[in-house]
Amino acid sequence: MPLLQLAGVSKSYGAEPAVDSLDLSVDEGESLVLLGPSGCGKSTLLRMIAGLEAPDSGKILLDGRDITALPAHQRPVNMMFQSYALFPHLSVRDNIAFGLRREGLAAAEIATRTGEAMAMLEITAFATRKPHQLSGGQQQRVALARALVKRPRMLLLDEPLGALDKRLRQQTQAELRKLNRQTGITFVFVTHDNDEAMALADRIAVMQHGRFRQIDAPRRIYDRPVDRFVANLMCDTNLFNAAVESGSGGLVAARSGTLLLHYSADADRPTRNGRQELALRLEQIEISRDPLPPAPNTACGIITDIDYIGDMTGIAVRLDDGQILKASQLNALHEPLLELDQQVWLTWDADALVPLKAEPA
Amino acid sequence: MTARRICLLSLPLLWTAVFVVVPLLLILKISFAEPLLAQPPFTPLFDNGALLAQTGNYALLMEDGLYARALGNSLLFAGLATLCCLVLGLAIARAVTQAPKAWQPVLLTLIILPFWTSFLIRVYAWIALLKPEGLINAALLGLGVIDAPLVLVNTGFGVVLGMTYSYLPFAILPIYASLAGQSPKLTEAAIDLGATPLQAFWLVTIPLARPGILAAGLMVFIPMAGEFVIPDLLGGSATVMLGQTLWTEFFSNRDWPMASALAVLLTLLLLLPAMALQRLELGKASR
Repeated sequence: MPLLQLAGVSKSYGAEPAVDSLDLSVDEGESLVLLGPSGCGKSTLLRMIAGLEAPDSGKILLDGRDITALPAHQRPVNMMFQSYALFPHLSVRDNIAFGLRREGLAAAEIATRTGEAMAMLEITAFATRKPHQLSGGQQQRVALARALVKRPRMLLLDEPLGALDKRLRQQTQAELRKLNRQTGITFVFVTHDNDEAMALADRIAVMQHGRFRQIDAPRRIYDRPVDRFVANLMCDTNLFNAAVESGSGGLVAARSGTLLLHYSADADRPTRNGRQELALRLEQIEISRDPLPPAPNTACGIITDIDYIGDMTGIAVRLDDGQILKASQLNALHEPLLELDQQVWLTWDADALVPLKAEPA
Repeated sequence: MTARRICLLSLPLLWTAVFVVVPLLLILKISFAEPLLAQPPFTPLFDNGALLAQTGNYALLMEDGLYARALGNSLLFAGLATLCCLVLGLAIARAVTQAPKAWQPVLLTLIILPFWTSFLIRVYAWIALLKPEGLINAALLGLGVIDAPLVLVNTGFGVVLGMTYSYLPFAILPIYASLAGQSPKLTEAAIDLGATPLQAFWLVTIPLARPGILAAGLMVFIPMAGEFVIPDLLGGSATVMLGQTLWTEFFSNRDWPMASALAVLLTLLLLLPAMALQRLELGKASR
């Protein structure tokens, strides 16, 4: 039985649906990331799981028990807030003990568990400090300890790393992942940052306009985005709106401008109206400075833009028919570096072209 | 300090000196004199270079039960009314913060709206409401809740009610300011951690609103303890407060030194705890 089940959960503010009839199940120990742009309903969904918002319709089940009507303070789930929401008038120790005191535990047990939580997150040294005397990273640890000390069935994290700088964020992501694996606590994590989602998720649920666009493992989301929205969200990508010409043996031929594209047919993503949208990741394209003979999945053009980002170089190539293709390569594997206005030949595998579903109107 | 800063500081300093410090020193000086049928109606402090300070006024303050009673009444009624103001003020301020953002300025304006009418007229209006043949008694009699009119006016109840009503806006505003500055996330965090909404209010909202509540308490308690008009109109002979006693000494008995001694006593009693409390709170905030 899944730990958490959502069945037809909806919530709207005024006429605008924030969360639109969602079904979802989360397994014990899993780390699920809700990914989407701001206003997509991911935070509303998280707050409904926490009990801070009530759904207009639908059911929320935890351990098979219907908790839809259970008030927030009685739910065995805890939330880590975006701005941490530490109590400014309480010391670190009292912040962490706050939740245990509400359970009416014995003072000795509260002290032990608070101490353990502080030790685990290496904040014992700050026990008597007030939140405003801590750095952002330390505050974030206190917030995490305050939620974890309750031993929740599920930890809800509402963009908790947004306030940290990039390096600290990456470090914390790794620590959170370790925590999830070691303690086996189920995570539901909300973010708008696709790198963060990749780093933390067993599964990613991509949301837009209150609905799920795709729920899959990070690898699948990245390699086989279901539609243009997901493809664009994950990273920069080439998109073709190609006219399908013929299909044979699972390989379909399509044309975009003067480009001839061959791709593997996908039964789940049927072609509509003879046109097919295709995605092609930048790093799937091989860049060659030596001429290649004209062939399907091959293009020739002039470099119009170069973007050097340390380990990678990204380029924009203008084809003869005016189409722009973007490609990238690892610098360590390719010497010498590319130059502006250079003529290059591009080529890619048929499997690198991902057919996308048409966007719902 | 630059000339600019001195200029900026000089206005409040001058204001305080002219309208607070100098009058207070004059009162202090008069309180050590004796009444005199002359102009001015008190003995001078120095005569031919000799100090003629009399402490008889203060001795009488301690001896005569009249003053102790008036002081007791002042502290009791002002204390009760302060408590009422804080409880009502918290409830109303919280209700305003919970209202939709667009309504909040309107609600705050409504709270200040009574100031459009003179304070004195509003206190007289309470007499019309509270007197034996007034609206409240008429309504209660008409509904059959009571058989005989309640004595509401000329009582301590009337005084506390009148002061609570008059000073409530001064309590609401600072409490509202301290509540409005709080992130609603803190309450949510408390509830998420297992606190009932009431516990969250008591354990998080109230402690964080402490400076506002304290400011509200001082802002209403100090003027109420020295209040003259409300106990005079809504109270009776049993509810005489220090302000009234002071007035009597000054205008009826023409005993300026005694009145001044009373004023000094009142000022010390109110100012010292208020300053101590404020110091304590400021110290806590900076820590």
